Formats: sequence, C-alpha cells, structure tokens
Amino acid sequence: MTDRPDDELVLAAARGDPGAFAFLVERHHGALMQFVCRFLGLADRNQAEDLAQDVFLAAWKAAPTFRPRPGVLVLSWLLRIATNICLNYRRGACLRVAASLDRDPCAVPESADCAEPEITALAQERAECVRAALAELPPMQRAALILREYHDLSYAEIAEVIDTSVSAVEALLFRGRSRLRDLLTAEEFEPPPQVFPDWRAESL
Amino acid sequence: MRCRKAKQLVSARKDGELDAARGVALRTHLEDCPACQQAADDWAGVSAALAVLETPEPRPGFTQRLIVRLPTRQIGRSVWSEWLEALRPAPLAADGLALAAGMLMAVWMNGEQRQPAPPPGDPTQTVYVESFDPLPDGSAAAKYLSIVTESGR
Ligand SMILES: [Zn+2]
Repeated sequence: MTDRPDDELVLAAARGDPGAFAFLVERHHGALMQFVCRFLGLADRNQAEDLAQDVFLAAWKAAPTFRPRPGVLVLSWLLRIATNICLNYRRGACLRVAASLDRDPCAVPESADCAEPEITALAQERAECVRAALAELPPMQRAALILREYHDLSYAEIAEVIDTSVSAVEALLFRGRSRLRDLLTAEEFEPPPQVFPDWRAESL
Repeated sequence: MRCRKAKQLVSARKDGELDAARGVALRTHLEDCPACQQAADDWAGVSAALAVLETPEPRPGFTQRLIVRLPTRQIGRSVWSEWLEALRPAPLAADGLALAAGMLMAVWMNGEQRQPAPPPGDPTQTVYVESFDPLPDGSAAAKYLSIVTESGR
C-alpha cells in the first residue's frame, strides 16, 4: 500500500497511471461496495460488485476533470459517482428489494450474497426487514442515512455527496429516521421483535 | 420551539452536529417535554436496527479485475498536457483557465481512446439524477456527467 494521499492518486490516474488508480481502488472498494449494496438493497454480492466496478470505471473516466478542493474528500467524490450510478441503475432495473416486500421467494438471499456465511437464519430475516425498510425511504433520505450511519460522514461531507446544504442534510436525516422508526415498528411490516430491539432497556 | 423541531435537533445532537446556541434552546425545551426526551431513544433504536445489516466485502481480486478493464489513456507529452502542467500549481486566478484546459483535454482524450460505444442501458449514460437538485455548473459531478455523455456520442 502507498501512503500517497487520495487526491494525488486521482491526479495520477488522470494522467493515465493505472497503478496509482489501483491504490485508490484498494483503499475505497469496500466502502463503495457497501454503499451500493445498502442503497439498492442488494442481497446479491455479484451484482453489488459489478456496480462497484462500474463506479470505479466512471471515476477513471472522470479523473481528468477532478479538481481537489480543501475539505472535500476524494471518497465523497467517489460516493457521489456511486449515488448517480445507483439512481440510474434503479431506473433501468427493478429494485430487488421491492420484491422482498412482497415476500418474493427470489428475494431470499442465496449462498453468494452479501451475508457472511455464518449468519443465522434469524439474522438474515432481520437484515431483510431492515433492507426493505431502507428501500422504502426516498432516495435523498436513504443516501443521507446510509452515509451517516454506515460511513460516518459529517453533515458537510454528506451535503457534498448528495449536492445539498448542511441544513437540508439535518432535515433529511430527521425525516429518514422518523420514517424508519415508523416502518420498523409498524404492525403490518411484521418485523421479528429483534429487528427493533428493546433499546429502551439497553440505553438506561 | 416546536416538538418537531426539537426532535430534529435531538437527531443532530446524536450526530455531534448541534452548535452551542441550539443546544441550549433544545435543553430548555427538553426540560418540560417528556415526549421529546424520548426522541433520543428513538434515534438510538434506529441506529441499533441498522446495525443488523451485514458488511459485504469485495471478493479478492476485485482491483485486478477492474484494472484490466480500464480504457487506456494516451496522454504523453503533448501541448495540452504541458499547458495543464504549467497551470496546475497556479493560484485561484488561473482556475478558470485550468478548468477549461481540463475540459478540453478530457474531451480530446476521449476522442483519442477510440473506445467501443458503451452498450445500451449503460447506467453511466443516463444523465438523470432522481429527485436531486440540478448539478451546479462547475461541480465535479456536472463535469463527470458531461464527460460521460461526451464519450457516449
Ligand atoms: Zn417537545
């Protein structure tokens, strides 16, 4: 691994250096794969990996137009490309998780999925409920929530990725959390009790 | 302060994004409002629920599989690249020029690559951002989209 900073690697990639780009890919492919998987509710690891590859191919093509800015992470730039690709993907292909809301048997994760092999059936069911609830959120709320909860981005960084203001991010997270809470506690959603654990007891 | 606003501020406080002034206003509201005091538990519950999702990792060889797919970029020491190199360390005043040079160069390189046309339905080809505000001119994403469309022609 190299300790060259991200923006230097992108600039080298812009000059046609695939080796520099490989370091950048190694550094961020996990985060991008996770974002794509969660944003689209994919249970199929191969599908998520194909999309993550598309994100990096688009980044390679866009590298000559990249301009480093103070306070703006290269990861934000990559996540922004990923968000655009996910949104376009969703328009073209049916969202797999939408089927899971109808309890489509095809939506049950198979062996080559995002899940770890030792994951239990119960945990899989819980994860499926959360994936389905996330898919119910409007894209902006979903993106903001994923970037905050899983990627630990600040409001300013999230605003950069989804092209909005910091105060809009605050409102998006509030609305997203409210909707998720309602979805996960709604009776018709039928989550197993563990999906929304008894956090009141835990947090005391 | 209305309860809806207070609950939003509790959400911001959980993320460490609440400034001191709003923090004081929130504390005042919470002292008299048990309903909003519960919001902190609600948001913690949402985080706990989200934590059940597994963390997918790319399979080994992800980077190698990607690198062999990268279209080559033929730059060399051309007039364009020398011009760009000269402009790169320049201060803000030259930014517009460097940007224009970058755009020209990117368009020129895309012409040089002679890539096969992308297959129909390529997700990067659709210049559309669902429910997002229009991309501001000069933003990285706007440039990204302009390049992507350019290469598809
Ligand atoms: Zn209140």
